Amino acid sequence: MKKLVIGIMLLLFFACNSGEKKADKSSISGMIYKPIGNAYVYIYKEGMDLKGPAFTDVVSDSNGNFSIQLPPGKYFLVARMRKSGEVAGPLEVGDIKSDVIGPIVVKESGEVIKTDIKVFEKKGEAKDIAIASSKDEKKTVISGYIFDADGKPVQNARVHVYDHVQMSERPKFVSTPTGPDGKYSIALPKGGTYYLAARDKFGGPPKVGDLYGRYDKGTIEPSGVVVRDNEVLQNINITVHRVW
Amino acid sequence: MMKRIALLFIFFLIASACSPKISEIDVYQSKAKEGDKGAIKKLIKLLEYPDEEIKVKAYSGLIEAHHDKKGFIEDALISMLKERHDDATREFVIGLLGKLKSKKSVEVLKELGKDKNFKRRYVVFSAFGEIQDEVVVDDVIDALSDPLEDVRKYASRALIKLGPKAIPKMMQRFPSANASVKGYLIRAFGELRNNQPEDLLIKELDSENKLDVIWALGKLGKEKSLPLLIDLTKSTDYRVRIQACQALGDLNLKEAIPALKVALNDREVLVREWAARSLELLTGERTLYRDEKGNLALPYSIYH
Repeated sequence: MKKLVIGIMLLLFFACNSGEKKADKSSISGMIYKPIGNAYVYIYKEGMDLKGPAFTDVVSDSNGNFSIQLPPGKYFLVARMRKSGEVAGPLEVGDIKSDVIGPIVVKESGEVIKTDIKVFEKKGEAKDIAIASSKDEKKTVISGYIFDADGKPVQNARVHVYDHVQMSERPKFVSTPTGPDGKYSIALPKGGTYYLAARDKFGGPPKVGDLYGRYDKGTIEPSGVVVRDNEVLQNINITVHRVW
Repeated sequence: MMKRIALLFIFFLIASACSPKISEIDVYQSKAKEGDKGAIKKLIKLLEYPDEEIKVKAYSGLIEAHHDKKGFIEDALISMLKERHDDATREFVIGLLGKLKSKKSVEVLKELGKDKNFKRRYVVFSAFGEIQDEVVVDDVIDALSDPLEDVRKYASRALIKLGPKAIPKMMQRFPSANASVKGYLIRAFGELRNNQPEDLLIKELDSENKLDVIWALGKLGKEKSLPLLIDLTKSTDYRVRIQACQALGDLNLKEAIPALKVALNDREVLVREWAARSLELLTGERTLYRDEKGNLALPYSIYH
């Protein structure tokens, strides 16, 4: 009986793992210098928004080395390491970043392309996009809750605030991520007409499968939220759904 | 004891052997693109898998499957809807039927749109917006009074996507609708930008949907709406004045210019800002307004 059980176990073990053999793929590897561990190397395909979500990413080891296998194509690389530890989001002063490297052409031959990446500390403008904090002293505030399709609060979503109706470019302001109660509160520098969207990902157009929702009243065009100087608007709630 | 541990281990291994691997799904996806029926079947089956990441991958693979297999996918998905499935699986299946613009699925979807136990029925109306079959117009209008807000919103968007063919039914049902349903219809009329309901909307100018009516008249109105909107730039309610200034820009009739110039001196800064924006639309010239500090400023451009 024992032999039989062990036999079955071994058989299943090999059956389970046989599908994971990977074909020979080319890879890009290198070192981030000065050597920095736990930095993200973002890999973008040609034509992708380099400030949006990457095609894929890899984290450097403690010596700053990284290596990633990629299917054939043209790629751009950029290294970033945020003090906050977050994977995505605007860079702040003191965060580490590199210039964009590429295009790097990856072929199907199984070759290893060596590319070291020089990084430096971000200086100058405080943030690429203003992250509005709920602790902000200013009194012009829009707040509300983010819900999912079942009416449950959504954690770790952000509200993106735009000052133009197309909502197609980078947002003017972005809230901090929601907590378990799904609540957001965003302080704005002045009153105006704003257009709001909530989403679980940061940057780039929403993709199939992402959670995304705009503040609107059942229209395709977003509904503007009019907030006056020093006004606190509450219950500007947004429901997010999968992008189909 | 040994036997129990072994059995547990076997159970674990069987479970993990049955778990799809992302790399396997990638293979199904590329085979489905070439029209491989077996791979398509696997992807359809994976829509039932509880992990949302797997569902999304399967869904994406099916969207990109070879167009010759669309009928096969549609039939399989419709059969799935007739079986009992959890809400998340149904949501993906219906989202996919919408993406495939499946007219065959309309009757099944109509039933699901009325099923109050199906909490994610908003997706039915999202799909109706994609399928654009006018046989659903009445059902979609019915859904404007659904207890769930996201269902009402998706129904309203479906009417907009259905286009002008939805307008006669919308106008027919408008007078007997309650205020909330009228609100959705008014906003949908506005986005449809078809002038037929102008008179119906003008009658609603003093209703609780006043702001939406003003917005919609800006989108679809003609000369008849002009004096009414000009008059509203003098309202005691600043929100009405903002909306009227915005609507006069949308209406795009040069006769509104003098009224908008008066609104440039409004006591409310947001009215002044909208007056400047609309003047720019009508004159083609950048127009300054007095900001909250009394300085002359350009409004930020909402219509990039």
